[in-house]
Amino acid sequence: MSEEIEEVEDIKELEFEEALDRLEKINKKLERNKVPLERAIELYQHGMELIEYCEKKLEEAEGKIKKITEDNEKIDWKR
Amino acid sequence: MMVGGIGELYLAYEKLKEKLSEEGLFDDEHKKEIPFLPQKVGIVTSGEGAALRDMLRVLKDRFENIDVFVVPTQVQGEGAAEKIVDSIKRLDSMDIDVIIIGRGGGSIEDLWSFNEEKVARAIFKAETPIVSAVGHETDFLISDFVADERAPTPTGAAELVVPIKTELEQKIMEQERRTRTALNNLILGYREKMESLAESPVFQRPERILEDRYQKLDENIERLGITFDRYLKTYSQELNGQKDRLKALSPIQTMKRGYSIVMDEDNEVITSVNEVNIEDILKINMVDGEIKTETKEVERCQKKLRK
Repeated sequence: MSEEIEEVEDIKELEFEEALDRLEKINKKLERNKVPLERAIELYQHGMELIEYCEKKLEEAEGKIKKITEDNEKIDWKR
Repeated sequence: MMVGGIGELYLAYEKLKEKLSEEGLFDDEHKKEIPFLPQKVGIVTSGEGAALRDMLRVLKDRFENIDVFVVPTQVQGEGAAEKIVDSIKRLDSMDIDVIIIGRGGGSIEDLWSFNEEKVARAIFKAETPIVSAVGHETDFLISDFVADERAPTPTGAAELVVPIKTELEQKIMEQERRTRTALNNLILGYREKMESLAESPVFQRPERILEDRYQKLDENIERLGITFDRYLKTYSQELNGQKDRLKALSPIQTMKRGYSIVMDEDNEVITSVNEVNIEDILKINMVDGEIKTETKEVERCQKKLRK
C-alpha cells in the first residue's frame, strides 16, 4: 500500500498546493493499487471536491491578478 | 628685562627655553587646533606699521566678511611684554576663534618681548588658539614654540588662519555638482532597474503565474477521470464474468433448450423410472410454469442411459 490519504476536517483549510498534492496522491493511489470499490468511490468523491476547490482558488487568483493589473494600469512606469 | 649684550640675551633665551620645555609648555598635547573657518580673528600687534596693514589686507582679500578685532599693542621696548600679555588676556576673554600675535621683522632686541617668560605663559594659558607671527628669518622665538601654530610673517599668519572664500565657494560648488551627479546616476540606475523589472514576463503577463497550476490541475482532473472509468470498467467486467459463470451453472439455460424437471407431489425431483408408479401424479417444471400430469405407463429402457 502506498501512503494513506489522511482525512481533512475542512477542505477550505488547505492551501492550493496542498489540495493539488492530495489530488495527485489520490491519482497515484488509484493508479498503482487496486483500491476496493467503496474506498475508490470515496477517493473519487474527495478528488472531485479537491478539483472544485482548486478551480475556485485559481479563479479567485485570476480575479485578484486582473484587479491588480487594472489598478496598476494607472501607473505610468516610465514617467 | 633689559640685558647687556647679545651673548647674555642668548644665554637667557636658552635657559628659559630649556626651563619651559621641561615644564612641558611646548608639548604637542597642549596645542589647540586652529579652526578651519574662524568667524572672529583677534590681532595683537603694533597699531602702526606695515604688519597690521598687511594682515588686514590679506584677511579682507581672502575672506571679506570675517570679523577682525585689533588690539593695538606696544610690542617692543620697556613694558612691551606686559602690554602683550594684557592684550592676549583681553582677546582671550572675548568670544574669539583665533588670535594672531606678531610684528614685522626687527633686530633681536626689537623682538625680545616675544622671548619673555610672561608672554610665553600668557600664550600657554590662553584658551583661544594662538598663532605666533613674528617676522624673522633665523632661530625661533619662545612665542613660536609655545603658540599653537607659528607663521614666518604676519601675512603668513593671516593666510594660515583664513581660507580663500572664492576657493571655498568653488569647492562647495564642485562638491554640490558631484553630489547631484551621483544622486542623479543613482536614481537613474534604480529607475532602469525598476523598468526592467516591470518589463519582466511576470509583470507583463501576470496570468502566467497561474498557467502551470492550471495545467497541473487539468492533468490531474484528466487522470482521475481516466482512472476512475477504468475502475468502473474493471469492476463491471468482473461482475459480468461472475454473472456469466453463475448463468452457466443455472438449470434454466438447460430447460430453455427443451429439458424439464420432473418432481413428485412432494416436490422431490424424480431421476429414475423406478421412483414412479402407474397413477402417480407428477409435476413437470418448465421455464415458464408447471404441468401436473398422471402416470399412465412406466417403461424401462433396455439400455442403461445413466452411469
